[in-house]
Amino acid sequence: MKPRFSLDLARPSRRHWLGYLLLAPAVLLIGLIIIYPLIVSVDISFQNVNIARLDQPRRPFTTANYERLFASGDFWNASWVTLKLIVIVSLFCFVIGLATALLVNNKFKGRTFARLLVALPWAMPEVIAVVIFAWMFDSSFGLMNWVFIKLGFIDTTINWFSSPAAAFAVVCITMIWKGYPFVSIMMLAGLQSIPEDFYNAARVDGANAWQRLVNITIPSLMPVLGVTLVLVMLWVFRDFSIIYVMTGGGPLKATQSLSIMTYEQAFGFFKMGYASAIGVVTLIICVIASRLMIGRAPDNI
Amino acid sequence: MAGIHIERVTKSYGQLAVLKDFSLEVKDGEFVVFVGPSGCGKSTMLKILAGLEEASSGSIRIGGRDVTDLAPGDRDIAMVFQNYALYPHLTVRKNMGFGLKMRGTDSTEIDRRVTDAAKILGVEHLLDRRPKALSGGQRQRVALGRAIVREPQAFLMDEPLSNLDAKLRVHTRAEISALHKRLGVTTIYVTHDQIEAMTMADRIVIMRDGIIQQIADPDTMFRKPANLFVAGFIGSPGMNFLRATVTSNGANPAVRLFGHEVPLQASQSLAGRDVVVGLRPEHIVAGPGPVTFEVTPRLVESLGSEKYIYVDVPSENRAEVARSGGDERRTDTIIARLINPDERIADGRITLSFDPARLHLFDATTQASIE
Ligand SMILES: Nc1ncnc2c1ncn2[C@@H]1O[C@H](COP(=O)(O)OP(=O)(O)O)[C@@H](O)[C@H]1O
Ligand SMILES: [Mg+2]
Repeated sequence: MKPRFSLDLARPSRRHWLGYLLLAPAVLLIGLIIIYPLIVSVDISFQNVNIARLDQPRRPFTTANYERLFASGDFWNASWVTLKLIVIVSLFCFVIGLATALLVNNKFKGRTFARLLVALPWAMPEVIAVVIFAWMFDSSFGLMNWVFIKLGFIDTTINWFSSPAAAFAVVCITMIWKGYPFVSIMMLAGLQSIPEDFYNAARVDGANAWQRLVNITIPSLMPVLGVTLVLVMLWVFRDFSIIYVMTGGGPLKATQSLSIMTYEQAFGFFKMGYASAIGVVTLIICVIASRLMIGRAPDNI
Repeated sequence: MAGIHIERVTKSYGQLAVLKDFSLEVKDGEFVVFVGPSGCGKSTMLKILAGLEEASSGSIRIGGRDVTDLAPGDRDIAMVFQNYALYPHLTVRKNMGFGLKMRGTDSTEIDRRVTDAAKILGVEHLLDRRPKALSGGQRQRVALGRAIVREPQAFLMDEPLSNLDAKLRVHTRAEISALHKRLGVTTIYVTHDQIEAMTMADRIVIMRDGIIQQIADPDTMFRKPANLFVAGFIGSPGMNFLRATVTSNGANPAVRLFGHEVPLQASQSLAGRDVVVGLRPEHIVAGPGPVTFEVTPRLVESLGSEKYIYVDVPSENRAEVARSGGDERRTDTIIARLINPDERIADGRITLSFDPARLHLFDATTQASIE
């Protein structure tokens, strides 16, 4: 038998080589577009850089960016705004998403259309959604002022974008509107994977609709719920365009989240080292938060 | 515990009539099996009994109480599902206690009953596991356990054994029977497997296309099938069918089978009618007998203790009988089931015989049994 020099990937001992071979291009690509910039930005965050240029020599190592960051009121304000956004937007996205999913999971005429309607905001580009909401909340021609006055909630028009609380509320509403369909779609998929016999068994056992929701539907959705929650929170955490287009972070930094602050420092004040430091901190928070969430999700089903 | 009265229940899904005039009286403590080919409406009837489906018409009483329009939870019945429907997020203990908890039973009582049921079923050591960590057989027991802790008036079981492998199925079959003897609770059990029906039932309800074909105990079902469908469905292998025309041979009517005049113990009035003659494979014996014929088997299957002999049917005797789904039998062969045959097959020929008293007669057009 003559020796074979060709790479025999069919051998049991080498079977996993093919896997690595097929993965290689993707890994390279990820390395190029994610890992490399990440390393660069971590590197920059430890230098006193204004406009980062890769062809210039490294500046000396310094932790000044981080020291300044943790001492800055703006940073803590942005963190607080981000936290508030995450809690409020995620909460409402979940309540509305779950409710609409339960609704369109029922059998009724026009269900397909209703499902489409529920998913509609998800398909709309963020900037367009923001423009629509900015219009609706416009102080002089806005729909919302008119509705609220007609309903008698307010007696003079509110200038939504000059009051910090109102601007924050409008941003929240826009994000919820944009974000709940994702939860709804995920929940619907989860709902459809619950076997009908679970409900039949519970009905025979005498569970009413509320008991079935609490004891079967919600626990069965738990795995999907956990992942979805992480994804929604990360989306709120790093979403930039909605806030930027709507308020630009104002008024009085009331809607300045960490991502807005990063952008402002980097491309407004050209303090790229400082901006990178914010970015790195954001990244660390994201990683820790998602680890905690995913780790806590029950591993049943 | 209670009897169940089903009165003229029908069910249609739009145009499709799934149940047609289903009436049945189940006695207190009886074990009744609904059997029939897949799609004949067994599960539908069970769901109507459980209150999970609404009957199109008719009424149901459990223990004398009209439950036709009662919610499933108010009927005091427990159901075992084919895929067990155990909740993956709850432990076995919580799964078994679920029904009691939903009814607001206090927790010490739930605990006591769950432990008792677990003892009966031998799953005490599994109580703190999740269903995912159980084998098929164990899940099956837990599902039974969940039904018995409720101490309901009746059990409804929908093909509870069909997800088990063959060996476990035989074993669990016996266990369910034993459990029924022990608890004495009225049970309605659905299966498509006639062997399960024959071995477990006090009475069998055999169904086809939503119509009850016969209600009888297993022995009667086997000895006196009401029609060709029942005759072909019960027994394994199923009954052989031969077409013949009754002739009047002096005093006795007779039919021609395998070239022999076979006298029938039937009334003279049958003369001239087309009939289907049924003969069970186990009623054909090796060696000479009242009606003897020598054949060349088409095929011999040996199962050790018994042999299946496939025999060609003369063309005049070939019967076109639609059999139940799945059981595709050729019309040009019959099967003889010989238990421990001594008869050697010499030169490919074998002598077989049968007793005319064992023959079943069916009307060729109505398919009903002729007494
Ligand atoms: N929800 C439904 N809608 C329409 N047809 C149904 C529905 N459920 C069952 N059927 C039909 O009713 C017939 C009987 O079903 P089923 O009772 O499940 O049969 P089986 O005897 O196999 O348990 C089948 O033909 C099935 O297609
Ligand atoms: Mg069925």
